[in-house]
Amino acid sequence: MINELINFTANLDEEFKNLGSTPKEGLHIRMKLFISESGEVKIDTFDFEYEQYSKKQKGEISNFLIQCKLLHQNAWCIDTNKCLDVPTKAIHTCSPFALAFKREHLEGGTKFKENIGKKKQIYERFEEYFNKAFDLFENKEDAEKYVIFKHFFTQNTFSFVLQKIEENYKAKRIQFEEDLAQIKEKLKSSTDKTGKAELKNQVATIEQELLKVKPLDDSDYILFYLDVPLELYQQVHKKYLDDKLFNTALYNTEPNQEGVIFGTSNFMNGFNSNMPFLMHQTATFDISGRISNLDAKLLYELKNILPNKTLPNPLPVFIYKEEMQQKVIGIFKESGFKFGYKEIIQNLVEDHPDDMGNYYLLFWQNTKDGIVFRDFDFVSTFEYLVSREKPLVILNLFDIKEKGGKDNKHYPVIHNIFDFEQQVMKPFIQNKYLRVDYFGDLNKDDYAKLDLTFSSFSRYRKAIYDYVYKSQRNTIDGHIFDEMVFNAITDDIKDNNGYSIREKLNIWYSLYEYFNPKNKINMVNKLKDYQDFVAAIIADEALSDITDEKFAFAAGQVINYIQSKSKSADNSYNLLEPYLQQSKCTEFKRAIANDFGRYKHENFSKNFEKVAAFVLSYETSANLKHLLPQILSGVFSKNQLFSTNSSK
Amino acid sequence: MKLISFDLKADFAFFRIPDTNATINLSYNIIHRPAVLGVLGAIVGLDGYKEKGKLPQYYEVLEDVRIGVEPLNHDKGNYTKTNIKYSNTVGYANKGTNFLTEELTLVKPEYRIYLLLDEDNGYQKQLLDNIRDGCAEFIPYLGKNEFTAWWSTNSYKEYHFSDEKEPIGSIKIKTIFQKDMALKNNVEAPFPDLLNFDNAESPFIYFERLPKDFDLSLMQYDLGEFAFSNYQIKNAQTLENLFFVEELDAYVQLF
Repeated sequence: MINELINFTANLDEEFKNLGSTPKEGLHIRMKLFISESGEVKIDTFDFEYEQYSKKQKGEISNFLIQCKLLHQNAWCIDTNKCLDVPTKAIHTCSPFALAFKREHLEGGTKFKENIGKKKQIYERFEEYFNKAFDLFENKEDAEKYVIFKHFFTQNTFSFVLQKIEENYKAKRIQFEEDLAQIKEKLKSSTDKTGKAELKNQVATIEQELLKVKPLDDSDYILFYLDVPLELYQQVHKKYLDDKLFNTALYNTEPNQEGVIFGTSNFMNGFNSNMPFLMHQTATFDISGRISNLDAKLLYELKNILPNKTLPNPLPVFIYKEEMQQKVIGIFKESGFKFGYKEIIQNLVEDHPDDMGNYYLLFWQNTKDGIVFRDFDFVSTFEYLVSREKPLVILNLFDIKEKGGKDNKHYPVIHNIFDFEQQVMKPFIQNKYLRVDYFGDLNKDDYAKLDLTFSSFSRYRKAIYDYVYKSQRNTIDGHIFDEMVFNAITDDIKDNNGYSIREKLNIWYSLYEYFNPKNKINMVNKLKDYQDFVAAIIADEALSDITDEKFAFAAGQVINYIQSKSKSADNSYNLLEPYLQQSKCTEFKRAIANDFGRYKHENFSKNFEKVAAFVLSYETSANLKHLLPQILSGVFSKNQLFSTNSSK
Repeated sequence: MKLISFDLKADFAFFRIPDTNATINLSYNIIHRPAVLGVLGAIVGLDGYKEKGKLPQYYEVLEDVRIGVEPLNHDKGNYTKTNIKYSNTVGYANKGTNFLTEELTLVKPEYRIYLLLDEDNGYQKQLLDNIRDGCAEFIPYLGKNEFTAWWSTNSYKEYHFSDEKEPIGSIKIKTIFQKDMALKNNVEAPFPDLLNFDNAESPFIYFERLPKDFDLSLMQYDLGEFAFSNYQIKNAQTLENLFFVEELDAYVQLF
């Protein structure tokens, strides 16, 4: 896994790696050094640059902030466990040229209050921070050169700078707020449409300006930079990374001739020493593998690229085709980072039908705990088309109409796997918002009144993902398909949704053969057989080839007919429940006979009498629960038992 | 020397890839040589890991056994994987913190293991007898001891083979094979004959970087690039350790 990701990151160009990244939210301040008249190096506390950044800001980011972003990217800790300010972990830079912490640590902030009497405040930890940061200089004399930046913090001069900025922002803020109040007042009284639009624009502009001068939240960063070339930042950061990119320095090898060190990977990898249960107590080795510092750097970069959302998710990682990799990234970039896997594959398939394979498919999520990998698997061949022979067709066997129309519903032909996902798989596992979340936490609330659909979703969502996205065609077989269909239908019965039941039966009959290729049973013909069989009973023809399935279908027709006689306010499909619970034929027939008895005062057609006579006299030892598809088909297909000149 | 095979299977398997352990843990898809050696050690009844810095007995005894692996009941070389979530809340195991982990576990993996065994070697003779008779001294498992592995005696087969037959033209290789060069776009390297594949299933080439042995200096897996395909392979003369099996009319690679 790790090798594939290393190769992938190595092939990305440097510009791309930074695309989509933003400055940290908060106040960025760049301090300059100057030489005083007495020849002393000092920090200029009067002439300095600063700007506040919020993710809510629209439009282009200023050049100053772009520079600040580069600086903090080259001064940031790998994670807070590896910052220089341990154990409190409040200062998140790791550089003698920069210092960043959250507002909450300053006087008045929540962390400051929490720390009172318990921990050292941040003001007391600057000394220690800089001592560690100065160790990153290759040349120890450099520490002397920049000690003034340390004094800027240890002598609390930085608070003076912050105070000046706040005073300046406050003045601007008051002015903007006054302007905003005036415009809003005007907006209220204005009746002219164009005038109103203009005023709204002004409100939006001022609100944007206000974002730049708003009081800092506790969660905002305050970032100080020393105005020295980026290269200096990079030099010390490299030193920091070389030491810290490995999980622990305990197992580092000596640098080889090229200076390459091998150590334990820190990428999605925790060191097990604090979990003795995970440590192999008797193995020959202490650690199971090492990677080089060069690879560790690439993995660190990848970890920083993923949150930028400039890579598609799921991400295909081609192993032998760099050009395909570039195409994937190119297509995603052109789409404004909007395309999903489906659109990217569709673009690629047109030009490179033979190259769609030999890639790892990585599904990752950006969670509150950072980047989390959910799935990583090899795709030898991606099968875009659902079938090599012919596309799939869903037939409207149960005579449903287009939603909101009078015409019979017409199903679009299914050519590719993504149509298949949308039309065939999704209806059986989607939640009440018609969405499918393949890797999120299982949330029953989204499946209210869809208990069995939730069961199918929980059990088979990974199988469907593998089937569609990785072309693993053996993850769903006929049994799984049956279970998903009839779970969803059972939910529909409870929800009294006849339309949806018929839709699902259409899919089940039309695609039975596709999911059961070895059975060679054409279910569409079977349905016709069942209907012909009922017609034969009605026509008093001699019956041949009587099967349990045909009996079940006829029984479904009888049940539907009897229920049509109900005058009760409750005409829901819940009334089917007593039939569907039966597994023995005698009990099943008794349920029919009971209901028949309830409505015996009604008029019954001759057709019904003939078919009911057959059903009630039929004997079978089969478990009727296995005949559920046929019973439901009988209930929901066009009822042949009504006499031809009567509606009931 | 005797070339035999038996079909090793389990309901689940997890051959840990030691790259990551935070969030998800991944498994190799195809059983690799170090894992097969462990299974063989269990069948003969040899000791496993005992102490730091010392190689296990099974490795020292069986190190030279040539092994070939043919995935069975796979989907284009792949096995279905399911994500199993574990939580361990007992304090003694984790120094007081809860331990949560996820393992992407193989479902119903099955492999035909080819072995070239020397009957004059006591352990190897014992191994051969045990496999043929369907008995094992210790319970073999696929990666984790909850995934017990077994084979049926019916699956035991002996073959006539030759290691001298130079592969000419396109050949069928039943097992996974180690490839050091790219399979495609390199005329000298072994590469798939795109016109020749078993018509019964979709043509595919499966690639995986698998442990081929232990790197004894770093004491970690020594990885190699492996491929498995239903295409016939051209230029196979560049592949090492190919054995022609008469009964299969095909080659196996034993490494």
